Amino acid sequence: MDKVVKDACQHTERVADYAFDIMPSEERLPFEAHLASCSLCREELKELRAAWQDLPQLAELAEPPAGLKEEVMSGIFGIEAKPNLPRSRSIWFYVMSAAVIIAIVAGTFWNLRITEGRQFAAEEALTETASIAQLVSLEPSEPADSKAYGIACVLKKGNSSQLVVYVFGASSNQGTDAYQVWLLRNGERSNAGTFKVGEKGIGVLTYAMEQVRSFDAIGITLEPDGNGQSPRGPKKYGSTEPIQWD
Amino acid sequence: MLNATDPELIRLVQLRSRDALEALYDRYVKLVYSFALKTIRDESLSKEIVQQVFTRIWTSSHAFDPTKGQFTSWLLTVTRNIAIDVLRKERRLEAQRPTANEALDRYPAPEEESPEQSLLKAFEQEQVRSAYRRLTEAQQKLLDLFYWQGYTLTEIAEMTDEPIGTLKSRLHQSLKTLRRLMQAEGEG
Repeated sequence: MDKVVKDACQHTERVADYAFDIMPSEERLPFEAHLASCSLCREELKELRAAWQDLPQLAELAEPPAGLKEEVMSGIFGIEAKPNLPRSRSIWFYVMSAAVIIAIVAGTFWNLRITEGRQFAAEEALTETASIAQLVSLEPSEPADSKAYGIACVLKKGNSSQLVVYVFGASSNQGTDAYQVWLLRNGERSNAGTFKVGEKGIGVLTYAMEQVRSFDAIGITLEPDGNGQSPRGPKKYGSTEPIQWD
Repeated sequence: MLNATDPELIRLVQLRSRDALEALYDRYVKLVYSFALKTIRDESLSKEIVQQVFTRIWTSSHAFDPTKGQFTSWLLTVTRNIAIDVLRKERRLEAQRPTANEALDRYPAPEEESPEQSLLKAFEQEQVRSAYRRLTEAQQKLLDLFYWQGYTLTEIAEMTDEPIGTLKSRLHQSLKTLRRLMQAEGEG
């Protein structure tokens, strides 16, 4: 309910300051309180704002240059992989890369800490050697990432299994963003951890599994940070077949 | 996406939909770019402004409150703020260069008519433009310096050697006149 409506309000001149953002910040709140009870000033504000919002129409419409959309979107969603990465995608490259990774990982298998707090199974398995139980390739989800590819492999040692996910040719991470690995089983998606990719475009993640013996799919998304419990960002890689082992 | 309203698209952007951001881009890039170009008068800086605007939409979509006004008003406020920041930064850099570069003082070449401009939009634009032309020269100059060139009233007072109070009244009056003229033309 407004107070007595006067013919003029002593504050009406200040409405312009408020409308054009030139009012000092400490005066804004008290002025807003005044606006709430003064219909004259509110009306003035409405008029000034309407005129202010018409001003953009004074600009001639101009066609943005070609290619701007690609530049803007790649600026927001990730930069293209550097052009001088190797182009070879033959199966032997996959196998050899996997062999190198597995050799490294198997060597440090039981001593490696994967993520905060998660530890490996019993040290008594040190006497056994890890073997590759299953190997699947991970295809890039976006055609623009055609230089990128990945491998998921399951290592077995005794009764414990270790999932190793490896990506090559990935866009490097900026700021807090990170890649996140998701395992799909029976329609449910679980978080297998996050990893970062640096300038070389390589990323590795290892994940210990105790009782699991299969999953339907693996997906890797690019997340704004490593704190999500469900996918928020776009899918970057996906498995092309189910993963099962004994 | 094509039939979604602006608030719906923004809501989808808040839920991290890239498609929704791209839909907003397609819908409004011309407006943002044109506004930037009129402010900064440089194609490559205008592209930079477009980049910053849509990045801001992606990262700060929660800042838009559909109850407080139209999406386009918010979008243009964001665009203007970014454009003026870029403009002021360029001015500072220009001032430091030994040889004065007049690029920023050049008025852009007359724009070509866009065939896609709808008749209604052209009509609305013409309304604002013809109202604007009826302002006094001093009013037009002030609007140009304050709104498009991003100078503060203090800076303009120094440039034109006039008291701030006079400039404030003039600004206030210009907008009220514009509003009155627009309403009159609308009813004509």
